[in-house]
Amino acid sequence: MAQAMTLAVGVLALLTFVLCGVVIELFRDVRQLREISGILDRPLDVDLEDVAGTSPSVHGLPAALDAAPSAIVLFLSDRCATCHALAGGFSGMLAPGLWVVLEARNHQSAEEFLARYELTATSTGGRLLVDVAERIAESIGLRTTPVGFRVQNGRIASATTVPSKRYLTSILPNRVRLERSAATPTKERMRV
Amino acid sequence: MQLFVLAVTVAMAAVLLWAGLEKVRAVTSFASVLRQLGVPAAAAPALAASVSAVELGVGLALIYSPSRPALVVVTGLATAFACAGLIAVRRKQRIACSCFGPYGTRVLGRDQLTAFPLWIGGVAILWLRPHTSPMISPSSLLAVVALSLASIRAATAIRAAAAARGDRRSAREMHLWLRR
Repeated sequence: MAQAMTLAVGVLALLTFVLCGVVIELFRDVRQLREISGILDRPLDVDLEDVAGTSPSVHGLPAALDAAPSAIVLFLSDRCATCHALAGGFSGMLAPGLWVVLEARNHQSAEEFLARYELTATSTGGRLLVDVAERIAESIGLRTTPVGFRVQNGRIASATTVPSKRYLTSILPNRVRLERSAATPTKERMRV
Repeated sequence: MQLFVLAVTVAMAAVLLWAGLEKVRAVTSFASVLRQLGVPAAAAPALAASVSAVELGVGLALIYSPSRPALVVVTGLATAFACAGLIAVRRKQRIACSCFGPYGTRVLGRDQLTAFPLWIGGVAILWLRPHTSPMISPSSLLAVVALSLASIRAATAIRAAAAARGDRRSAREMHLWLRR
């Protein structure tokens, strides 16, 4: 009886092996379809060449970025679908450490874009810049959107395409704070 | 020594069962590989089914009774695989392997040639093993091998599911915007 049960376990495990193989194949098929449709959020590195290591203000970006220890400057365009999806995900506010440059064809298209996603100078904390006629993009040599530039210690460090809100959230400079009461001395806590 | 022999038996049986089960599941894919190797189109499906059956049979035989005829068949299979690798290398042709399923990215060639001495070494170890009573019953050994194979496969399936979930989340974000 025990032998028969063990044999049954073996046979069932082999069946599970085959079924898992079918599942893996299905996942690969779906991934292939996604790749063909271009809906995978795979970021691509942007080659910065001479722009790497320069101050953001050199390219017409706000001088406040030159003093920023860490920030992401996201270039959006009013003509790109992913840019609209990203702007829709802001819910009218920008996450800490995120700056947005909107590349717009003209003032009217910029206003329409900002109104649609409820982005104002106040709600974004002054971290929104409208680049009509694409002067900043021209200075950097940027031809693609959405692209995120990482600023480290006041210098442009790297850049990648930003294919989704999920990816944008993952590259934002999030600070994790220790939750410590000011009244409680550190040594007391350590003893506990 | 007995434990080492057991490990070699398990490894060889696991590889043969994995390859056999995957080929049975996608026998047309393996037949296409055989056609690329020069097997006549009419004979390729039958040969593909036969190779899969032989792999499964020998894999089980190694577990239930690792007799010398079974080891001779293993040597024959290893030689056939090495010949297939050699043909691919000499033709300088990129032929998808399909050795362990239809979705592998490996190609026929050096891998099969490298595996040949390992197969022969394994056969030699089992051929020369001392004849003692087995440490574990054949049914238990089959269960161990099958559970190991299923576990490896399940882990891959779980990783694939996690990756697909991430892709789906990203796509949902895009669709939310499109519906506006």
